[in-house]
Amino acid sequence: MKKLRLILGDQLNSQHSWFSETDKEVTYCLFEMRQETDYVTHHVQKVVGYFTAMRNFAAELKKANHSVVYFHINDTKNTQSLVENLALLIEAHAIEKFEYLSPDEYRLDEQLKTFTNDLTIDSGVFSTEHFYTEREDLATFFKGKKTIFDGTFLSQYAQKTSNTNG
Amino acid sequence: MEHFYRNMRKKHQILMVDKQPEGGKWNFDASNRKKWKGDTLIPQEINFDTNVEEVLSDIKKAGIKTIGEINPKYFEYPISRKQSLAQLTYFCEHLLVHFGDYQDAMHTDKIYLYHSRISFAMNSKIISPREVVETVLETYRKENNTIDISQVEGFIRQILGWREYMRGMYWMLMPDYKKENFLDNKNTLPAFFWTGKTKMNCLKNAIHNSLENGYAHHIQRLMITGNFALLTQIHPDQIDAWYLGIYVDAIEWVQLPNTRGMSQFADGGKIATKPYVSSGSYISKMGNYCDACAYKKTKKFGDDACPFNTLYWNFLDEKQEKLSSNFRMKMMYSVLNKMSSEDRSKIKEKANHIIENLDAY
Repeated sequence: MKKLRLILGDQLNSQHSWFSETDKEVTYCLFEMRQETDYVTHHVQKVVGYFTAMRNFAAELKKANHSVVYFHINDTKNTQSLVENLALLIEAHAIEKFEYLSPDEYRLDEQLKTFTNDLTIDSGVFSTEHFYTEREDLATFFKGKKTIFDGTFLSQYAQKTSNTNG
Repeated sequence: MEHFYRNMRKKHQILMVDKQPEGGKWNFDASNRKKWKGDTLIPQEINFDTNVEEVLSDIKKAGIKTIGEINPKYFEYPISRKQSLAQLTYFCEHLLVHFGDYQDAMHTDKIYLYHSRISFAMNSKIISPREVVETVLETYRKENNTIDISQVEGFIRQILGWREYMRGMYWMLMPDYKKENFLDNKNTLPAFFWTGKTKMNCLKNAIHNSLENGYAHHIQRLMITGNFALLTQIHPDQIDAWYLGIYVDAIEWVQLPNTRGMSQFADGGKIATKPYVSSGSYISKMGNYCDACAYKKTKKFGDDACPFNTLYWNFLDEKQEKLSSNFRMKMMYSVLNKMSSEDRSKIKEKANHIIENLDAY
């Protein structure tokens, strides 16, 4: 089954289980996009850092015999939009399944959820295998406890901690 | 966060001896608040020789609007796994030994002090928090004659505790969190946040560091720029945009809870127990900015009074209705309420002048 796997700029985890074996049916994609450079005015070193790290990551994947599609910021085929770039590749490579890693940003999470809901092919979402905790773990941790929002708990807690200033 | 952190220590058996915290305490915060006075030699930060001229020219050609400065011949941040691991090793071998002592210190000549600068490598996920924590622990086991547990615990708390906690809060509280403005702040950030052109030496330094390096360490972000933005009652949307843009390590999941919650108290106390505000004297306790400043940290009134002092009391006065019931604010409010009404109106008048003319200060 031909798969397309998305790697976002802040998902450069070379130790991820995705990369433990090569598969001719799997194409990885990374995009430099105006969608990501323009949602806020970034420091020049931030844009340079992400693009450079992404380019290096793509080169290392290729060296390890993975198939990679990389869109540079000025490539003519680059639509500058995440979902349009994905749609383009799904069509061009006759992709049968789209997979992505759980984004850490709400905006991208929503965008990819909408995109995959509308897709006619199968899709799957995987952990980035980066953090100690999963996204929902904290909510579970607070469940059944006097929560952070409880004033009583807060004031008792305040006396015990020293993360303070004056 | 403390409960979550202890739970994480237990769950992952980090700095634990059976069921007890190693060193007999969960938290060595009290040993993590030294001012750096030149008494230790701070090693030069690790540098890389990545030439990024081609990437920079692509960005310019695309017409992407950016802020800040760059030396494209020697890029400051690690961009590969190899460089990231080298940065981590460098931290463990050279900086960890004093990290905890000076983690909240600030100094005009020392941009990085003993900070690891690994936040970009971590937030881009080039290296994982497990690798970071394990490498730090290995160093500590090998060097436990020279490295004290307070240095190690102080660092691990940031990674295993705060970083995971903030991400959890983000996912628990989004999307509403992004709209919170508990203190009803509405003012506009001054232009000097993008130029560093201010006579307040602490802000000048913290902002210049940020523009030059895309970096400021935690306490500069919290005690200088964040504190000032809160005291001048800037709208949290503007503060978010500034922090999210200017720092190389800033991604919304980490920036938003830190800015809107920890720094600006715009969530009304879901993350911090009280607003992080301070006057000039507290800034002076943690750094040397006040020494060469145009303003006097000891003065509340007059042209050369430190604006943080005036703004601090004015902030408490203005937000009394929302904050005076906060247990941790009681002491400050009792001081404020003992002040003469004449002094209070003098403060208000001066604070209004500052807030209306921020770029003149």
